[in-house]
Amino acid sequence: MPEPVQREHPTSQKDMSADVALIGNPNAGKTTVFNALTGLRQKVGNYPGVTVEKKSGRLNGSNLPIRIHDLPGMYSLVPSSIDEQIAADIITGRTSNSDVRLIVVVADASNLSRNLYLVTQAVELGRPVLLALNMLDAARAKGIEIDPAALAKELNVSVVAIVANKGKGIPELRSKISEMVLQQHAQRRQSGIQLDNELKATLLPTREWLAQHSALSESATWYEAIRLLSTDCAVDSWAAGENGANTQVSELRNLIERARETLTARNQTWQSLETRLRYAWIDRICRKSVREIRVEEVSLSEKADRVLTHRIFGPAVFVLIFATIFQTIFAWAEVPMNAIEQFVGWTSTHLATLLPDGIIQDLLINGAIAGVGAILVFLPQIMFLFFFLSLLEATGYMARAAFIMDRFMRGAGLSGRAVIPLLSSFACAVPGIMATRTIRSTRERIITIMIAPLMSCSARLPVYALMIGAFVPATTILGIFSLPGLTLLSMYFLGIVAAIGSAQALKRFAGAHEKPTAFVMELPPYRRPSLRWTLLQVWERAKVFVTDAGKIILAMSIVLWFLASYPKPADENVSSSQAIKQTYAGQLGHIIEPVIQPLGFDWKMGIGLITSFAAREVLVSTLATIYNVEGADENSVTLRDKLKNERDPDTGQPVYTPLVAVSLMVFFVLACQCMSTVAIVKRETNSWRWPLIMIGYMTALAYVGSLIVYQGGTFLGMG
Amino acid sequence: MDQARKSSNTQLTQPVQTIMAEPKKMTRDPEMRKSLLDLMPGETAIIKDVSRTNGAATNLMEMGLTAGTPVRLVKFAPLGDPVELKVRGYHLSIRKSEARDIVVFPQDRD
Repeated sequence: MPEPVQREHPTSQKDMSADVALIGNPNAGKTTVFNALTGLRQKVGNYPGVTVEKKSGRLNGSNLPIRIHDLPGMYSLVPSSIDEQIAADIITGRTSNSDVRLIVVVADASNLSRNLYLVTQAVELGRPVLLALNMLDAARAKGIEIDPAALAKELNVSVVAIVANKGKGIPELRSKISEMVLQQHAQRRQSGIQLDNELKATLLPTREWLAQHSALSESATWYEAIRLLSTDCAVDSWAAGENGANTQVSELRNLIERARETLTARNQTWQSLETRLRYAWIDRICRKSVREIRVEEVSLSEKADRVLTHRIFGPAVFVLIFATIFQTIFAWAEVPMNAIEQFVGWTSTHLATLLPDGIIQDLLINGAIAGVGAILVFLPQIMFLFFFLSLLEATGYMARAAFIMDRFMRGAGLSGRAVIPLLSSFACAVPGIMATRTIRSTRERIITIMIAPLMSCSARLPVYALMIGAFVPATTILGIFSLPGLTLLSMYFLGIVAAIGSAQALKRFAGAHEKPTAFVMELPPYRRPSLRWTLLQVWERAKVFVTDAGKIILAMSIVLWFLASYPKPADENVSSSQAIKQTYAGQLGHIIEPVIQPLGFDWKMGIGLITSFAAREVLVSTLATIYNVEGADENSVTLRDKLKNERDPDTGQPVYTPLVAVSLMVFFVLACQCMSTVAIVKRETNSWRWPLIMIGYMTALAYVGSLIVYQGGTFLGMG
Repeated sequence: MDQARKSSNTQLTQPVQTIMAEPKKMTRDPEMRKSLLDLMPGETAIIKDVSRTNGAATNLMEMGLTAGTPVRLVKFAPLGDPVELKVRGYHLSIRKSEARDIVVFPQDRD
């Protein structure tokens, strides 16, 4: 590996800070260490791949400008998912803009040998390495005594013992990082992989070729020779890079092939040779630094799993947990929702008395406040959902959900790994789609991305809540289940069923030739979630919802207010419902009315459908704006009541019946109405092909779904 | 098992040379394959060979399933697949299709 390159124009660099990479296995406590070092708020998760994005922050309490980069959790520097690829590229220096001065590896002491796998790989990169040995207390509780000094000696790296979640050892880690960044000289380390003479003789021609054609040190050439021998496509990196002309690389290919043949003739396998030799090294390290003082007992986690992944209780608990979460969201959010509703109403009435009549008052009250207010109401529900999902992630239950559901998911061509992105999509498809980076198979990843938006995200919740609140009577069934709760649950269920069906269909043409990859997933020990971090997480998501989504909604509300207010009718005496018909919005709604009429929607809902293609929750603010413009004198009446009282001006019949409400909800379950989702799919799949297919198939699904509900319902006399 | 039955049958019908060869191979055959899936939940065995797991071998070895390592089959998932293993002090879940191809040394019950 090359020396960390000195930048060409050090004086012209705007940012003089030193880059430190933080790596580690998933669940090793890397994110906790990152938070402790930088003071940045960040997600603490327990399932593989929670840190999908690279995050960075300045090292706290140091005079030096040191920037810590939190890289995705990984088990090996030989990447097997895109997530691991990103991390590996940065620390191996394959990406041009990274100049990592120091690699800090966080290792879980209670699971040392597997964590050391990544450590031994990092050591071979030739950059300074600092080992943060985490959770020594958990190791001790397991009956394992680790000698950090012996470990440091064996690996020839600095070791700092820490207990990250209790803040122990963090000051020491901080000062050690500063110290090592100042030292700055890259230490070359011998790989501890031992080769016997026979293997050395076999590898010698390859090694000599490498010594001639590269600037690698002697020990590095041996290591590179083993790597090339052990991995099928490893030699491609030599062909692709600037390491030599193609004719020379074919020489190298031949040398490797010959070495493999020699091994095969000797009845030895060359596959995974590096991995086997590395674990042999690790076992040697452990023999000198780890002592098992007593036989391991059954841990608390294992006892918990006796119930939580039990053959019968496991799935029962799984269903119970999610049923409770959705029921709770509806029940607990009631009080704060009412409070927000009243506050918004109070603000409008007071503003109306403070401001003079006219365009400004109209814009503020009927455009901005009506739109934003209608969406703020749903903030409590969204916060509750994020709270529960964060909690499930942080405890480690998400991995169990994947374990329980894997067999079920396989029917749809997916694995248990898809469960986590799909469950996250219940909060929002955007982070859910980003979480698919941990899926190793491209095919499975594409399918998961394509069906993720069918999971009912939190943005649909306002629509469901409005429709259910207005049109589903609050009766109970069997004494315990409320009808509104059951209706909500069935909307979520419909999304899941549609997703399974779509996955089945997509399976046939999304990379059908690719062979399925193995499902290998860690079941991390259960951990007590930090309430503070869970709440911080909820707070940040809520902030993003209010600011980011709020901006779009505010802008849309104002545009809509304009569209729904202008052109003003020439005749002042015309009724308000006649007036809105002549506006731009009214015209647009009328244009699409013939298309949506079979679904039970009128032109006002048509306006909502158009605007909600930007984001689903915009429907609510759109309806609020339209009805407020229409009846500007009745500000205090809630949107819910306005919908109930809405009559067809010609027939006098209510526009919204429970059947129309259900049809509208079904449309929202199935349609792809989210700009952010389309954008993220484009980014993650790197083409317009998949986002366009997504919009197409979901719109078709939504139209057909609503058509069946409305026409079927009308036929059965439920209209 | 099949092989054992077959060899006892062949004892009656086959020529002497093969009879002499086969039982010898059976009784102290270190090559007799036993799959990780042959273990009962709760049983532990030593891994012998992972390389037969098509395509997943390196991945499994990186996770610590190397030859000579003790592994316990903890349980099967509620729907029968995947399986939960305990190896190197942590819990790992893999599918039956891979577990079937992991060869372990036959061992006495705990």
